[in-house]
Amino acid sequence: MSIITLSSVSKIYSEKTARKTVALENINLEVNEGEFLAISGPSGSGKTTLLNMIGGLDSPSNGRIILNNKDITTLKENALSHIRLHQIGFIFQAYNLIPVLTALENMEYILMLQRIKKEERQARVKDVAFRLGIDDLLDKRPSEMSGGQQQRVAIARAIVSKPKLILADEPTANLDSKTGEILLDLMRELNEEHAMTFIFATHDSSVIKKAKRHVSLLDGMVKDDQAK
Amino acid sequence: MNSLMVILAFRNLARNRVRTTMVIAMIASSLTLLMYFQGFMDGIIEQMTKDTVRSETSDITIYGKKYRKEKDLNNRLTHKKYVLKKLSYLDSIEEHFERLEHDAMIASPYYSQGIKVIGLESEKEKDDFILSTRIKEGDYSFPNENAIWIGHALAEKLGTGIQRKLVLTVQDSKGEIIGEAFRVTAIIQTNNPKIDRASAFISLTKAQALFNVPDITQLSIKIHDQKRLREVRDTIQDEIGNHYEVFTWRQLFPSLQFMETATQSYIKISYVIMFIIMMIGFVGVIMMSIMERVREFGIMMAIGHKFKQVSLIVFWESLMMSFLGFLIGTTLGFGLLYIVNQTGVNLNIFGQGFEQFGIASIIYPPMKIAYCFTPLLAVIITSILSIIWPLRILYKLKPIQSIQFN
Repeated sequence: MSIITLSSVSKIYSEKTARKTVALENINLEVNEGEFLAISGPSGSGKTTLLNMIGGLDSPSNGRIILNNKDITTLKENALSHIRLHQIGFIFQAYNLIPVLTALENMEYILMLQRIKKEERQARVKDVAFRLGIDDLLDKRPSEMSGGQQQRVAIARAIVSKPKLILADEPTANLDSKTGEILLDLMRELNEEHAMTFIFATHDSSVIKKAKRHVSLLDGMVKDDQAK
Repeated sequence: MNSLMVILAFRNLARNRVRTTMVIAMIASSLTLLMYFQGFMDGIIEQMTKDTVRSETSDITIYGKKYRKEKDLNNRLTHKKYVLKKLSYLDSIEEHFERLEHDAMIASPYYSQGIKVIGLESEKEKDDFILSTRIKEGDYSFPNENAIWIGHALAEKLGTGIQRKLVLTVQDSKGEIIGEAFRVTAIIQTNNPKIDRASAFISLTKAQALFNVPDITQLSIKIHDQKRLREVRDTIQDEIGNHYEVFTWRQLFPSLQFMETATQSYIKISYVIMFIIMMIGFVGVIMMSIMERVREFGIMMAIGHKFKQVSLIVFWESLMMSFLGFLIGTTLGFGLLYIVNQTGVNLNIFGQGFEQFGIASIIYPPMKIAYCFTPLLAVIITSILSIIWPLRILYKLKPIQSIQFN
């Protein structure tokens, strides 16, 4: 069953000087529930732009994006926020945890936004923290953690609300290869156990190797789309 | 949910302690100075009002029909018993005081000048008029019928002092010129130039004998409730009829009323100017604080925050800083006012001669709880207004633009 469908999606950045930059051109892509998909390509190929479009962080210049049978290109910002809160988990290259909150609070934060009761919140946070091996870091703030630890917390934050879709932009780029490998295995397990859909934008060959499907972009267009 | 916003706001403020402290200090010091200024101005006005009004009259004053226009003894207040009987029916009246005032010439061996002679009931007025507290030399009493009190500036001009003789020359109600010697038993300093420079006080009975009238020229009335001043005046006027004129002290001293209004306006304008300046500074700080965290706000919106919730965090930050500044400012302000309320502010530090304008040389600023109402309102308004522009900039950015903001 399709979770995302992109139909003729293009993104053109118009500068005031009338110079146009085509970031994505006529992208057609369908992603099914439970996929573990890597989108790769050289810098400037449009990977991150595509991921941002799918997550409703940016809007396409042309085309439609259907997420869970809903056309998100026509939605206003508040409705998009609602979708991001309840259906999508984000993992960023730079972790992007809220610096004034502890690891526990960063994880619990999304659940609070979802107005989930305290008991359930704490149970879910503890469960995910244990699963990701960060139960000893819960009282620490991001500045007190290593990159790998922060990325684990970022993954925990993305999955704790049990979203259908996880979008990960270069999640291993700032990590050493061993830590990256461990986290990838972890995400793969989550994908298999909970049928969460993962879409990665990546340069990392180890991510591509572990992906079940690989889409490569070049100059804003799909060059190749292979299921393994 | 809101508690989360408050926690986030608090931690964000704690993140940049120096900046937060500076902003709070800016608000607190501004409020402290403004409260002090307001107390000081109120102190001047209250002192002027008290010195002027309570040396000449009480809350409400009754005169004969044309006396205010032409201060002639023929226009004096007659049928006093009738008036007092009517007043006795009104329970809003606490006390009444009788005075007889007329022109006279006062002379010492060195100097003479025209003055007002005021006959009064010294014992009755003791607690309600200020003369008993403003005796510079001598005693507040008329030990014999030829005792006289004079203002200190008049005493200087006449070159006279306690127990020295002066001669009053008056024209009585029948037009006869009468001269009589008096002995100075008190010298008064009220800060009311009219009293200090050109008035002399004798006992009411002596004044009635001197001017050859059994009546009085003014009947001053003290009332129970100042808030009902106008209403009681109207009632009295209705009761005693149109042969008499009834005035509140505000009507008798319109210049004081004007000064009070002008001072209040001046204080309000000062508040507005101060808060505009404060708001500009505040907008700068909030703007800087938001611009530093655009990326962070972008992340928040990416993970599901609505713009409204981001705005709420910024609002709480602004409100916390303002309110803390308000608390510290008003505490320091009241503390400062308490000190100067006890010690007084000596205007002689800034120069001499304030008494000539009816201002006492030492001012005792009052402490009023109302002093914190305007700042509280202003602080809330400032907190709201100062975040509008910075948030508008943030609002225009898409989440992805915020995340990529440099």
